[in-house]
Amino acid sequence: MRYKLLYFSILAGLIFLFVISLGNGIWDRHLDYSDWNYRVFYGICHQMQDRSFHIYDVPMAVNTRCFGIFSGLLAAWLMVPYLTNVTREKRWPGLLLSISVALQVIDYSAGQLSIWNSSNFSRFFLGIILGVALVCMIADQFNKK
Amino acid sequence: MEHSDSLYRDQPSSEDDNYWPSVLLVGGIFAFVGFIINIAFGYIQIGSEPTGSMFSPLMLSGVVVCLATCVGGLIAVWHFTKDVSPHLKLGKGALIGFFTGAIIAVFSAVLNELWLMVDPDYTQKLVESVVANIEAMDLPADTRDQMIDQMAAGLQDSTFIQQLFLGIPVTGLLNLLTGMLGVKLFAAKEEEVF
Repeated sequence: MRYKLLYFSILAGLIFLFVISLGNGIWDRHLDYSDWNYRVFYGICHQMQDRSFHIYDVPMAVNTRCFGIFSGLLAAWLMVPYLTNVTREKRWPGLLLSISVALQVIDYSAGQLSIWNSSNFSRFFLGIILGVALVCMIADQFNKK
Repeated sequence: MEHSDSLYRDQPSSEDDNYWPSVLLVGGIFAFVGFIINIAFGYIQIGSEPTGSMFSPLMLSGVVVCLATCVGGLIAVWHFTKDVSPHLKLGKGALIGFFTGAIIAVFSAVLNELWLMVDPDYTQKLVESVVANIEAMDLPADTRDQMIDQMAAGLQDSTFIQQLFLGIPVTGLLNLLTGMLGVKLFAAKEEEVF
């Protein structure tokens, strides 16, 4: 694998992102949306409580879809040393990314138009697929030529 | 000598390729567009009657701005490959993405500060409108109170430094990833040199 420094720097960043997205529950602290770990996501996530997972009754700092994306990114990033070979010159990562983006658009639009109301777990699952697909798409760049 | 010159011309470009125009242009445009969308939907929110609906104009703007913010790195790399050089390595794409995210965060913070000079009551009016909408929702009282606290905390003014400190790492990291995606999609493939 090449670009090891880049790989481990991003791994550290994704671990940081994942941990702070868990919110105050894991630190046994009360909910306070003015805490920095909640404010850091304010611009990129609606943080609605009924659309977030809870840890010890404290909502996470991001909603289930964003948490799914971050989880998928981290899980797949840990697999990059393996994925570099599996995804090399393959077309399925592009297809997977296209499908995952389309699923997000369909699911979000259907919710907005009240066609269906997806559950927290389905949003989380769709988020995971998007995160994994993004990493699969770029993993072969780390392949030693 | 001539042979070696022509050989070097065909090689991937050097590390001196300046990516800052792409970073500043794309970061600036995305920050400005995001700011305009936020402000526009903010005033729509302020001007609307409280409906009690879960989906407010402000929330819709948040989703649009979130998507727009995250693809900045991808677009900056695309611009770089079109305008400067089609050859770039993964690390440089990542750097372009990160800096684009950072520029989006910085410019957004500057524009927000400037707007508060134009309309100092903007945040207060927005908070009042959002709180009125939540109070109109058919929810248990404690849930409603929690949502009001959340909205009020989220919308309250941050200092310029706080906006930078909170904005750069996450926006930078997400754009770094899309920047690397941009390398995969738009950069010329490296060729084996024998």
